[in-house]
Amino acid sequence: MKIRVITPSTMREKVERSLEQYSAAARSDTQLSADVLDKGPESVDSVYDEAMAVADTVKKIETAEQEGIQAVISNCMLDPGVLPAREKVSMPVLGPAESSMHIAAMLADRFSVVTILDALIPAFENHALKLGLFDQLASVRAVSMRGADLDDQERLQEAIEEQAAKAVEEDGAHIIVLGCTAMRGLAMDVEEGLRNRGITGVPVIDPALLALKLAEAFVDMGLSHSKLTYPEPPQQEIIGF
Amino acid sequence: MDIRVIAPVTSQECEARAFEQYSAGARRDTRISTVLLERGPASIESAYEEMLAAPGVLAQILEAEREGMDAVISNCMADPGVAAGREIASIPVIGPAEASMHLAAMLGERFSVVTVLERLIPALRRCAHASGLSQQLASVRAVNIPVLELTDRTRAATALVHEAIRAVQDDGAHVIVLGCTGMAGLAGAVQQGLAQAGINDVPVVDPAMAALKIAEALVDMGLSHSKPSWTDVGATGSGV
Amino acid sequence: MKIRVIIPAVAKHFEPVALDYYSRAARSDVEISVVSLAEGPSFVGSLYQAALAAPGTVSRIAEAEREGVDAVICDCMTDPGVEAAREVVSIPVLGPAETSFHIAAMLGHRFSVVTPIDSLVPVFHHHARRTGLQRQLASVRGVNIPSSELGNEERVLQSLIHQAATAIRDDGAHVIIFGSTGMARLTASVKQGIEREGLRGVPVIDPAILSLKIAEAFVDIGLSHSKRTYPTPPEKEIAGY
Repeated sequence: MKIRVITPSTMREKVERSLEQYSAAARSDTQLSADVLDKGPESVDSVYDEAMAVADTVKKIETAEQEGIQAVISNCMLDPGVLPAREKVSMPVLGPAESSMHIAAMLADRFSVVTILDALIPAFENHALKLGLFDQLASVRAVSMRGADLDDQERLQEAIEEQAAKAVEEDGAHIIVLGCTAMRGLAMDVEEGLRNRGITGVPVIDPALLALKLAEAFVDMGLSHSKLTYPEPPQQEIIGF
Repeated sequence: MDIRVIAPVTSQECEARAFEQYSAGARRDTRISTVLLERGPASIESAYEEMLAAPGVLAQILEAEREGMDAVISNCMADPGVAAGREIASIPVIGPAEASMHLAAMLGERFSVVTVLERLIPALRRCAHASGLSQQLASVRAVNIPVLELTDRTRAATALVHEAIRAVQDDGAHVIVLGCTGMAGLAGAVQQGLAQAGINDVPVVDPAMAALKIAEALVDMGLSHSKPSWTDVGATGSGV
Repeated sequence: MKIRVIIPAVAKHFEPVALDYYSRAARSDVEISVVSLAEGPSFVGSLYQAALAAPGTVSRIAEAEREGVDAVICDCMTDPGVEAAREVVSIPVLGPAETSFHIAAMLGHRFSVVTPIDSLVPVFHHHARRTGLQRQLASVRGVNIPSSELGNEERVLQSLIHQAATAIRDDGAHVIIFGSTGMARLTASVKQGIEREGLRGVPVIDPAILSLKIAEAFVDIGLSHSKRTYPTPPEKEIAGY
């Protein structure tokens, strides 16, 4: 099956990076491809950035379906473009935030999201509220790191662990959701790090890999979003896009 | 009226204490009878133990109705067998968790439940959530004393007062619910302890009494659970 | 990967049927095994029967983990013994009702459950309350056919199609969950049936296959329930088991 990862960024190097990231969990019969944006921000660190990324993300998702891709993942924890794209395509469109919050709610009493910046906390709380999962959201915490900082894997892991530990010990979380797809490949390490701090029994979800797995499951089952919820938008001229 | 209290465990001590507590709180015209289980755990402190207790509780619920009881109570904050019990009985089947939380929600803006072990916190949260009372649940706290050690009343009361004060001062609770039927009879002591700490007029709900009084009220009013909410599978279900 | 299906009833005759059904849908690298109970009810269509089936079901699940199985699925829409089992084992334990509710909530604004087992109707409402997804549950509809007459598959199917169509038209459902694992083979026919009535783009979820796919996904990325939410039961005297 063919699955595409679309990163809502104009940075070309993220094509290779995202392919590497997702390959870690792809099935042997899954053909992964990746794309980035022609128009938009370099990274999504705010709701403003998200707004700037949405239109071209949706376009890229439409292109993917035209090219015979069977499912796409919007590679960012604000799930940019997911809802509008579902109106334009029939294939599954996965948002890592939505996917990880629902699965977290199935696996534990309460979950916490550990994201990159404090300014994003309301966006995650609102998302959980919208999904009907607010009661299961213990908290949203941030590591206060962005951009190139995130390439320092060691420092990033340490910061995530610190916030995750607080989420468990102070906020009552029983499962952690990594709140930025740039927190690549760190889930297992953070889980182990928590265990080393004496915090056991707390799974850590990598939302990118989970979204990929759900995409594969949906393609296997021929399942996708409801066109009653996401009907084709009425025809009209849209200038500039 | 006749009310049957099921001690959903094999511990005779638990059954004896339940009989004492419920008899002390019952109206003069209420006859309390208790039973315990032959098959099941000594106490319930996990979903696993609740699961093991359920079949025995269900058999006792059937028995209670057959013997002409007016209502039956499953005496444990896991409300074991209550939902399934409503499928097989017409008389009121009451669980102390559901009863005490609903009552607490009527008595204050927010309530906290103080239970025995931390591991029980998710289950009590789920009960509040399923009852539509999440908005009013301030917190669930634990005294870290196993059920069977609640016999040391002083130790239990002291620990309860400590957690109740934290619930009021840190979590914003206006009502306290004792989160284990093994804590029945300690509401007064907890209330006193709170008063000594300068916290007055915070009601402390005894879940056994909540279950008892709601059972008595329902029988008085001729009310019981709605059959459309719990499938009627008849007295014996099928294939058992 | 080894996945075991537990039929939570004394129903040995059903084992080969389930084995065939799940095996066809499983990935080529997944080995399916099926067990039923030695003791308990012969059918589970209510909370009462689920309570009677739970001890045997949990026992089978514990046995599965000891035998090196990677994940288990409870083949019953009452999700019997799932929470208790999660305390006893570390491997993923999938309950089809909980799983299909969460996935349905990801695929559309509201979902309805349409079931051939009328006695399960209140049980699905009970599940909605427990999973916190009441807002998303549009309705639960049963076929109004006595259990002794469920052998007339054509009649059952027609009623299922009718109920699903009504749920969509009158109750606001955008997604349909097939409310039975035992008869889940009718899922595709229900989807075709509603499409023939002009109701296109509405996902119809097979809870059995979905549970299998989610189990595969979890094992792939090493995800399971939180042992903080489901800690190992305390050492205790237990009589009669």
